[in-house]
Parts: sequence; C-alpha cells; structure tokens
Amino acid sequence: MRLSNGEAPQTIVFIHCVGSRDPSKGFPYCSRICCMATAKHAVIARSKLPDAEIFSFYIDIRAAGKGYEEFVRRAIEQEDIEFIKGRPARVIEKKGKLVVRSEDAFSGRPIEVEADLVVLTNGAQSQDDAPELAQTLGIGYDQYGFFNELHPKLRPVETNKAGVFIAGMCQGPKDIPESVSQASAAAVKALQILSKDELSREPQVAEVNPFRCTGCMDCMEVCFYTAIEEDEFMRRKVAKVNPGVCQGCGACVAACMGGALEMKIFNDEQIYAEITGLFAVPKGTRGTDGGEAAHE
Amino acid sequence: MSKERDRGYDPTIVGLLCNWCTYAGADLAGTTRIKHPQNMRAIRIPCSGRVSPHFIFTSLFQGADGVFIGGCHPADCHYTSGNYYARRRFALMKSLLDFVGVEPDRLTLEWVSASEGDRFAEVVTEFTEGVKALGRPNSLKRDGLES
Repeated sequence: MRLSNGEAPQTIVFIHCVGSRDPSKGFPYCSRICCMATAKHAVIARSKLPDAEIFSFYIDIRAAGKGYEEFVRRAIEQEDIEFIKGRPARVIEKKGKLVVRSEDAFSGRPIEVEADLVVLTNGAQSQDDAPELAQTLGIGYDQYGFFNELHPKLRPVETNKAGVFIAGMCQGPKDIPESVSQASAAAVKALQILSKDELSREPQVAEVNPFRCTGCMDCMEVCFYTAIEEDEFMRRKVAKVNPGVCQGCGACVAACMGGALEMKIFNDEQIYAEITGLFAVPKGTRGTDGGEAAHE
Repeated sequence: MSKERDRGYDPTIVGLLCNWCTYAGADLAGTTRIKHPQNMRAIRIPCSGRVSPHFIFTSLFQGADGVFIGGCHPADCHYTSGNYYARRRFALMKSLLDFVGVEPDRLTLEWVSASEGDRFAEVVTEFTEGVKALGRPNSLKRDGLES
C-alpha cells in the first residue's frame, strides 16, 4: 500500500545489485542473499496482489543454495513474475509514477517500466565500526571491513588470533543456513579448547630471554598475532610471548635488536649452522676457498 | 684471487626460502624437473620475516657470492605480514651493503608462490647469472674463517 494515497501498487519493480557487483562504486563483491530474497519478496507480493505486474531487473540470478534455483524458477514460471536481464540506468519520477529506465539484454533494446513501487536490493556492507572491533581484537579484516578467516578452505571460522572465532555476515555476505553452519562450527571450535584440561600447541614458538630483554617492545609492534605482552622481570619491563597464541613466524626474533628473542625451532643457532655448513671445508681437502669446497 | 679463477666460476648462493611459498615453489621446480643452475643452496626458514640481517652478513663473511631471499607474494604471506617486514629490511640492507662496499646486487628478494616452480627457476637463473657477472670474492669474505 502506498502511504500517500492509500492505494495498493499495481506495478512493482525489484532492482537487483544496487551498489553491489560494481567496481566503480567500490563494492565489486556479490551480496549473495538478494537474488533469493528478492524472489521471495516478489512471490509474497504476488500472493497479496494477484493482479499486479511484478518485474525484477537482474544481472545474473545467483540463487545457489539448496532448492533456491527451483524457487526462482517457480517465481518466473508459476507466479508470473517478469525477470528482465538488465541493469536499470535510472529511475525518474513522472506524474506520480516511477519510471525505471533500463536495457533488456535479451532483446537488446532499451525498456521503460512505469512503476508504483520500486524496491531496491542494496548490496550488503560490513558494519561501519567493524575495523575498529577487528583492531581491538587483533584480528584481520579486508578492504570492505569483513573479518578474515585464517584459511579460506581449511580454517574457515578461525581468525589469526587464537581463541577468536567468526561466523556469519561479519566474515562476508552469506545467507542464514550458511551463517548457522558457520556458527555451529565456531561453537565447536571454541568447545574444543574449553573441553580440554590442557591446551596443546605447536612447538614452533618464540621465547624471550628476560635477562637480555631491554623492554623496548619492538617485538610487540611486529607481532601480527598480538602474542607478545608486557611482563615484569626483576622489577623492570620485559616482553613475554604467550606460547598459546604465537604462531611461530619469527618476525619478532628478527626484529629483536638485543637478541633476547629466540625460536624453539628454526633458531639462530640452527640457521647459522646451516649457513656455515655450506662453506665448511671437508676434512682432508685442500684450499681456503669455501665456495668451491662447498661444491665438492 | 687470480684472474683465471674468476672466469666462468661457479658461485655459491645462500637461499633463505620461506617455508610456505618459495621453498614449496623450489620443491615444485624440482619435482616438475625444471632446469636451473644449482648454485643456490636452500635453507628453509618459517617466513621471510624471520630473515635477520645477521644471516645475510654471516653468509657474506663465510664467502657467499650472493644471498637470495624468497618469500610469499605481497598479501599472500602465511603469517599475513612477514613478507612486508622482509621487504622493508631488504630495502635497508641494500643500502647498508652499498655503504659497506658490497655490491647490492649480491642480495635479492623475490616473491615465488608454492605453485610457481617455473618462476622459481627463472628468478634463480637470473640471479645466478647476475652474481656470476659480479665475480668473486665479495669484499666481506674472510679467508680462513673458522666455521
């Protein structure tokens, strides 16, 4: 019903992908939920207004869930909703009507529809303050403000910060079934940690020698996993690695000026031994030229 | 060092390869049997961000003719930002080498992903040729250094 005159709309136009899938608007990604949601709304509108003309302008139909394609086909074939492949260029107000001007990609001609109601399916966006939350938690996020999973295939609910899990739209556009399955996975991942009395971790972590540490906290700056925190040792500030959070990249070890940080695997001693080993002169061979000796 | 030995010599290159990308790329180059010079000796490190300037100097003191650092492509680091630290350190190392009188071309930083075996062979070949052209030894090499 149109509030200004109390009349039910006789022509309804749905426009897909408003602001999304458009690199020029800065949102090249697909919002994923709207094809199905629009078809659903169109079918509901049809049930309320059996005589109305209903149009749906789309780029492609991306209803890829279980049973979704069938639903969209039902909307087209049984519910008599006109799906037009084309991206509307503009909507003009003319004599109380909204004129939608678009192309019709199948006929190759421009098309105009005089509508009483135009429904825009806006692209999904992340929360404005999502980056702020991500920075507070120390987890990664992409250029659109969606949180990053640790691995797209193998670790889809974990973040780079151990113990922080993500599920749903905060990670990227997705529908309810997907959000529920991701949330279930995240809940189990969290339980996995809580169900054990002791936490197991990778042996490849960094460790601070507090006698050498000057407390400059350069290591804290470079740690992507926020695994390094301030600690007190003999009444002075030192760095401390949380071995449950450390992923063992070694960035802090290379950053430590004082050589106070060391890794348990890939430690300095091992790498120096490998380097010098390349130039070691095998026993019984002559010559001081390490480079050549390494080839023999 | 005599002139004769400089001609057509076989350089020794220390390769510090990131475990997740370049090391796997080197492995792929091997398993797909792509030919490249064998002068580079691979040392596996967890991340290019692990490379401390000490590693580079140790290699040069020992007599390495070149040092090759391999990391993941930007935005592709397994540890998200290690390769960016490597890149910053690399830029400083280049000017430091120049300052201490070592040809900066003896050091290189390359991005090779785990699927780029052919690219690995390409960059290694290129670097080896470059190091060959510079001759030996590097000015930091210490003769008779105990290893």
